[in-house]
Amino acid sequence: MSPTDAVFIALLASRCLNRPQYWWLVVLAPLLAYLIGSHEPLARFSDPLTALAAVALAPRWAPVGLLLVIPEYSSLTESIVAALAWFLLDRLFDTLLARLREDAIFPRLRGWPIQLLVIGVLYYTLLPLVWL
Amino acid sequence: MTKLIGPIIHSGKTNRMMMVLVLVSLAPSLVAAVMRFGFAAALLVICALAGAWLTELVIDRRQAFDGSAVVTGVIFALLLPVTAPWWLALIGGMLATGLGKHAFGGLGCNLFNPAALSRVILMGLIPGAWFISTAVTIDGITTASPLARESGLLAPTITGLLSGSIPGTIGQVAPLAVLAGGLMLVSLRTIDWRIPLTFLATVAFLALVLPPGIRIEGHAPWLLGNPLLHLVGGGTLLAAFYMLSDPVTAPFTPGGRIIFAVVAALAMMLVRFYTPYPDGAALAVLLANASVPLIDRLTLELGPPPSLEPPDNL
Repeated sequence: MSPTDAVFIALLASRCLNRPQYWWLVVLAPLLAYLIGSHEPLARFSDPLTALAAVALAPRWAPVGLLLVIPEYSSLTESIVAALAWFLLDRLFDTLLARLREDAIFPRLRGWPIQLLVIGVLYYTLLPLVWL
Repeated sequence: MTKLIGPIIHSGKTNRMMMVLVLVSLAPSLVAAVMRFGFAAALLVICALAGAWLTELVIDRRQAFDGSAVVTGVIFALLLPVTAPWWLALIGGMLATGLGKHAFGGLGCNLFNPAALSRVILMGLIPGAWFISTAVTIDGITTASPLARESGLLAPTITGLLSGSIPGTIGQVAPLAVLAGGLMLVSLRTIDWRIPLTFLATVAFLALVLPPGIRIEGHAPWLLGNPLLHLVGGGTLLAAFYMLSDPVTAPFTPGGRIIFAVVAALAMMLVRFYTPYPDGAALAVLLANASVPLIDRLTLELGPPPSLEPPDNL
């Protein structure tokens, strides 16, 4: 899974969970994944250690953390960009959802379907910027 | 989120009146497109318009006669290359109204510009229908965009762009007609002048200062340091006057609208300079639309209190 896909799936997963007090610690997950993965002495244990670290950051948001550590980040910069992208998109998505008028939306589209649509639009729109 | 509460001052303009003005302003572009490409362009406009209007009629009969679906259909048609199949125009019109507008709750509730949303979705789902390399029509040659590297065997000239002899979508072959229509909307205060002016100025500035990327070097070197080409080529003018200026998907405050236009211009120029995507106008519109709630939040919380005077474009 590419970092871009992981960021968007994590964004979707975060909508299923209540936000704990220190939810934002999850932003460190990609960096930890890269640091643990690139540390030679830990090579044999890098996967379980990364998973443990992702869960320990915010246990109630473990699924989000685990999704963010799935990609193999090729550089520190890539992991930082993925972390920042996830954080900024999460904030952006929240403001977009606040703008939606749920009462005006068709009952069958309220909630999950409209959120999926918005994430899909964001994905398609931001995909070209991956080239940067 | 800060919410604005009344008193609300009615501008005296109804939705229908605004839509009629937009349609009148689009007339020169439509006439130019039909004169240039003949029946092919007319067919695409009719199909997109029919798709948008019939979808509106099925979903919400009350809104079907306010003209908004017609405007959406026409703008979507202007984003199509003339080589596009008729069914793409029909589906595009349907998607623009159904998904772009009514999925979000109808007129006034949509987060994204419906025509831009439909174009981006269809470009992702059916890219082959958009990027037909070249096709000789009755009296011209058209492709997706004059900014596409595939069409860049010869550097496009400004006179060629202005006269419509350079490839483009049916709304891009007559930039002067788009400009005339846009200026009409600005002069009638149907749209806020800040958005197109800031957008076009930022595009020109970035065209001068951005360093070349691999997208340009060796493929389309004439795109460097050539602001006029960026202003009249691709979907720049259509985005400036007809997509970004949509009051529903633009920020509330004047300051927010300037930031919004800068975001859109920056996104479009980054796409043009550094990605394989040929134009980026529709993508930039959607990206700017997505940033609107954030811009509103920042400008309403950090800026001066909003005035009770009605905005210019209402």
